[in-house]
Amino acid sequence: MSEISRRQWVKGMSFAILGSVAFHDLHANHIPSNREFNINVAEDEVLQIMIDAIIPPSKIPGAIKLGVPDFVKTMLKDCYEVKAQKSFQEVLGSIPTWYQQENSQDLSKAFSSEKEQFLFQMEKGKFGSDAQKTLSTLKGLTIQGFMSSEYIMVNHLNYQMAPGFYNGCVSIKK
Amino acid sequence: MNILNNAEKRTYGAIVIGSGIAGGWAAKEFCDKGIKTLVLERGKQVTHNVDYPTTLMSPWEFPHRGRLTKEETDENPIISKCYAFREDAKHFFVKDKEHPYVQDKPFDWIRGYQVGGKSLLWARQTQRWSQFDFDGPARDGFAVPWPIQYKDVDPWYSYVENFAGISGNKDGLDALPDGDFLPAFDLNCVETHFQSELKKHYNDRHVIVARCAHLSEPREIHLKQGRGRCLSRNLCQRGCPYGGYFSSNSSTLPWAAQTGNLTLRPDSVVQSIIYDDKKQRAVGVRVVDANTKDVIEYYAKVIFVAAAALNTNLILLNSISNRFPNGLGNDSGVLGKYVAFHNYRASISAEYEGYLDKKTEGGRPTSGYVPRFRNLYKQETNFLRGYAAGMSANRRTSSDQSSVGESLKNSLLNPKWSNWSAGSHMMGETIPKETNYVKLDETQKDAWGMPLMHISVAYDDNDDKMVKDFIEQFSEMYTKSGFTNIRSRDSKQAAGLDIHEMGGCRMGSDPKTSMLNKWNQMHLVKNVFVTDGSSMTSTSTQNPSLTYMALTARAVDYAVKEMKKGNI
Repeated sequence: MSEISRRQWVKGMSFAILGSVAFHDLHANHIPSNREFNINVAEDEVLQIMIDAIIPPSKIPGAIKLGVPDFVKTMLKDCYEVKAQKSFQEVLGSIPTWYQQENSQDLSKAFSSEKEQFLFQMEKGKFGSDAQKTLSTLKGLTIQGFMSSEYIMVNHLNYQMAPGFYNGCVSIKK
Repeated sequence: MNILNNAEKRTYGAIVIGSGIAGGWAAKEFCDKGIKTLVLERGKQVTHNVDYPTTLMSPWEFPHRGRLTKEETDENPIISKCYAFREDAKHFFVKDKEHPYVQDKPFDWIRGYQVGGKSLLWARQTQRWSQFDFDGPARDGFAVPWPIQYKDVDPWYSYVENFAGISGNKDGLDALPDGDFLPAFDLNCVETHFQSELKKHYNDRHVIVARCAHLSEPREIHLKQGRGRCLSRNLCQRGCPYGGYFSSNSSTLPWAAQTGNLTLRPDSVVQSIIYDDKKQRAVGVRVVDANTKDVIEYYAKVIFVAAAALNTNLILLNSISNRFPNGLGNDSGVLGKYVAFHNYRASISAEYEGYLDKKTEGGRPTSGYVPRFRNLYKQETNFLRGYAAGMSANRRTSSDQSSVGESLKNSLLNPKWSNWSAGSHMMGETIPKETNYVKLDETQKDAWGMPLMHISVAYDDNDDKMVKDFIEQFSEMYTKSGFTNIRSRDSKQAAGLDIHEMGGCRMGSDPKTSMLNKWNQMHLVKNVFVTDGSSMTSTSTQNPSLTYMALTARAVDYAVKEMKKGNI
């Protein structure tokens, strides 16, 4: 029996009046996933280099600083087909070799402009359609992770959870 | 399984089955009138604020930024079609495997089994039905005539509007009666443009701001409920920390609890209503505890059934006695039949190339609304009834994402304004038919011993014609109003995804062709009332929840008077 007493209801009401919200552990309800996306240290290093090349640091933090690699790995682990995960991992594994062949130097020593040129070739299909698709996924997730990071949403997108008003016709400042 | 004793302790003045929008109202009304009331809810407890785990989470705190995992979409092909089943509110939806049903025809059954039911998740649109809607079956010769008129519900609409808090304008339209409204939210430049263009080109088509159950400016009665102003978060499906929108959880249930007359029992699957052949009345309900599977009986003078449209049918069909071998009160054989829903298949999108120096700011929990204009005063098309439509415009930015590196970053952080985009989606009336029905499986049962439900409900030729007409008319309306890039779409979605299923236990004047009288009271079992969507004789085009609230409050008022007179 779990009949709810008036006391408990009133307690709930007082929360409402105070406008506060009790802490609720989301993880307690989380069903652990059987899915895996385990990349090795070398593949992880390539992933970081690629993400850094897609959105590098400047006066504004880049994708690495804003935690995008963890977001990308979480999404790949939980939201993609096994086939896409495998292909993604294989492409990560091949990138150093492709880079070496194209530029006769190690990826880890490349300048930004060289890495951008390499990504451009990859996007155009030079390393095959799997590489093209992988880059498209990676770039999409990197942009998503960057744009939805707390830093960008708060400092650049003026994110407000509760705006409290609506104005349907505002002049755009030039 | 054991039957617990202490019958006296398990006896109440009223039992309400279901704690959603209708059940919550029944609870509030009974408790306010001093009746000890037991509310039975099959799902888990959801206490206002305490059990809204995601309500204050920012976008970046969601591991998948709102998206569902592959496992979740694979395991839930039905519920994944629902727009609100996402990372932030997935815990409030029934998962496909948890409560199976049999689709004799494809039907996307979207359910919320918890205290508050779907009132936590609804789209909060609250348009009154009009006399045209109550006249529909009699005028156009389908279903059975409604036993009530608009004037019977009008004062009850005002009554529930005042307590729930409905924002809107008094628009003075025949198709959509005005009510007791809080201040309206605004239309934006392009919606206002569409409104004035329609006035220019047509004499029967209007754009209004849709009435919605949001506290734009709370009254004393709302503050007393512990609710505050809507802050336009547009995160309503998570549960609102301010009680800015109406739900059972934020409004009727805590109100009922404060009277001291409410007992709420979650995790209580109602198996059947107990009918006493000698007393010739219902005496109580049989409940299976969702966790322990114990069977417990509760007793009351009057029973209100508000378990959500199809589940109400399930409980009544499963309430078998010597007197009623085909389901409670079902001598007519009508129970489970004449199920209908809303035609939500078609939508249209367009762009507007004006107002390029304007944008919107802040947020708004509603949109524009085009009330029904087809076949309103007389039959004028090759299909019966009509449709209303949502209408909204917005202006977004976009950025060139073709580059990488510093140039991509600059582009992302300096987006350009796009043209205004606009769109409409249809909300069509469907015709209740005997061939659209639900019934019980003869052998298969669920984990709580309830027979599985067969659903055989589908769109028909009238709906197809209506989809075609909506697309033609709205394409013309957007074209005449100067919009470009106009695209239409028929989603071909199955019935059910509109989440407006109604009927099966309809009202009517004749016990031979209907289950309930004009007070939502069973013709043949006078102390049982049904006030949720299952009681609807026809569907109107307007969102139905406000009408369930009004009918419920009206039915409780009648039931209590009848109890005092000793009639039930």
